[in-house]
Amino acid sequence: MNLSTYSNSIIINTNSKRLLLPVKKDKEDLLKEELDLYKFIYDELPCYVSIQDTCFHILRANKKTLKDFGNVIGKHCYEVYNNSNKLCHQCTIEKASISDKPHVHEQNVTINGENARLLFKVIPVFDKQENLIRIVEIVSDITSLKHAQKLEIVSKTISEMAHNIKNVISLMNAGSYIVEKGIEEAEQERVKNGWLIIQKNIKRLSDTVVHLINYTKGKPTNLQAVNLNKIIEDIVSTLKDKTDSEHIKVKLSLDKEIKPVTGDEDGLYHAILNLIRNAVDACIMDKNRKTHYLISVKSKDYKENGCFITVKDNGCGISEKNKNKIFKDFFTTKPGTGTGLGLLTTEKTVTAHGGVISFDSSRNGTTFSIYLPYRRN
Amino acid sequence: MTDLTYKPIEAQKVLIIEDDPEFSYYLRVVLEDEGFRTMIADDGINAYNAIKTYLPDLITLDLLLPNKTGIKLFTQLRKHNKFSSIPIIVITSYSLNSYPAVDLKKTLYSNKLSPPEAFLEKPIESKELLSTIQRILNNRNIYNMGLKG
Repeated sequence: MNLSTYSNSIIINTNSKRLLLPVKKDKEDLLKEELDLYKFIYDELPCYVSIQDTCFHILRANKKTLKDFGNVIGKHCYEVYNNSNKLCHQCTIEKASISDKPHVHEQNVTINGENARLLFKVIPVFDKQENLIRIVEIVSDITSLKHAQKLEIVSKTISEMAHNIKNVISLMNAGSYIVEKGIEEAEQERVKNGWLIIQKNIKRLSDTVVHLINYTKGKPTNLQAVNLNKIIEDIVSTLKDKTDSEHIKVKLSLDKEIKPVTGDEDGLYHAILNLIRNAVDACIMDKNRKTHYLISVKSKDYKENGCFITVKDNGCGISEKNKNKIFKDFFTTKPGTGTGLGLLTTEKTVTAHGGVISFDSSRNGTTFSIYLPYRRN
Repeated sequence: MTDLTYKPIEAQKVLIIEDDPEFSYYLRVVLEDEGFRTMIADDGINAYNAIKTYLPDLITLDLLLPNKTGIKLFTQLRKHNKFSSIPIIVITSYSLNSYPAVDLKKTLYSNKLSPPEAFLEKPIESKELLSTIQRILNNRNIYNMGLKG
């Protein structure tokens, strides 16, 4: 619409600006003007707007929808956006109509042969008797936003990684200085201390690389039947020297009924290893020295669909401040040893296997719990 | 020519505020080999207590610390009438153009605080650390001589 539609207005052209003065109009004209204005906004919105009946038939659509998706009037919304003949898996319209509240979700869609990421907002419209009569669906193309977000994450990851490696180099540098001085002054103790620092940081660097590889792995590719009980027993025996020397007791209660999980054995091994290692570190780092430290690792079948693995410790717990950060990139509270990628990798692996991770923590310790379905849907 | 190199009769005390035990051990070795007396504090609260007890001649400060950040500790020291003149070398593994050095600069600006005597970025070469400390203590010496003169 161009503004000349306002033929009842008088345009006064002063040299600096244009003033639009309305002249007297009757109610009907005013209503028409309002409607035209809304229609104008509706058509020009930089997103896809459609009005649908309760069976997902599109009754009306704005200009942008018609331009990018063709004549959609009368078609089902899932035919248009998903190229499918049945309701989408995560139908927000359905959810919105059940809950009476607007719903939002994101979905990948092909528009003119190009992949796009769309954000759907669905608003149910009810009549006076509270019957659902219409659905308004507003869909925004957030592809470029998602791309920018991804770039930002990549750039942040690279910079944090560089910082991490720099720290390790700094300590290797420190270690080699101490070794050199020790040799110069024939002080065996110094040589030993410096060498320990170097060794520890070689390990840290290799941990960082392993974590990075696991982190960037994406979806599990090497699928096999994985025996989680065996993995837990292997990890506990690998860590036995460490737990014994730190006087930490490890209790296992493994459910023999659990079935093998179809997944990536190496990825799952590292995911569980990270949890148990964290539990050990939480016991070592606890400043209120308790009389005994205990880590209990459990596995339990859940309705024959999947299993729960829980790792519970009575170590230092996670502070309130840090609870929001633990699944963030490169977050660590372990100066000199942590790579800050452990829990992030665990979360990623668990999610990639269709599972869920959660935790509960207080001053008396932390419990991490992961659920893994035996088979991914 | 007058030799202005500062030669203390008594060993100078350096407080190393650093939460990484390996890095603080390294700083200790470098400094003690040069005849400094060192103390190590691994968090902000321990550091403040150590300063009150030992009144160091110089402080090396890591900006990322548990229990009170390095920036908070720095501000507290600079605002303190007794401790404000203790020279501080800020040590960080982040570049000076990124967090947390930028946060420190903002704090300096908004609180009108005098900047640290030096900024060192990890990895730190022993020679660089020692020459920086030497320069700071020499300047202090000239300043003190000026006061006495």
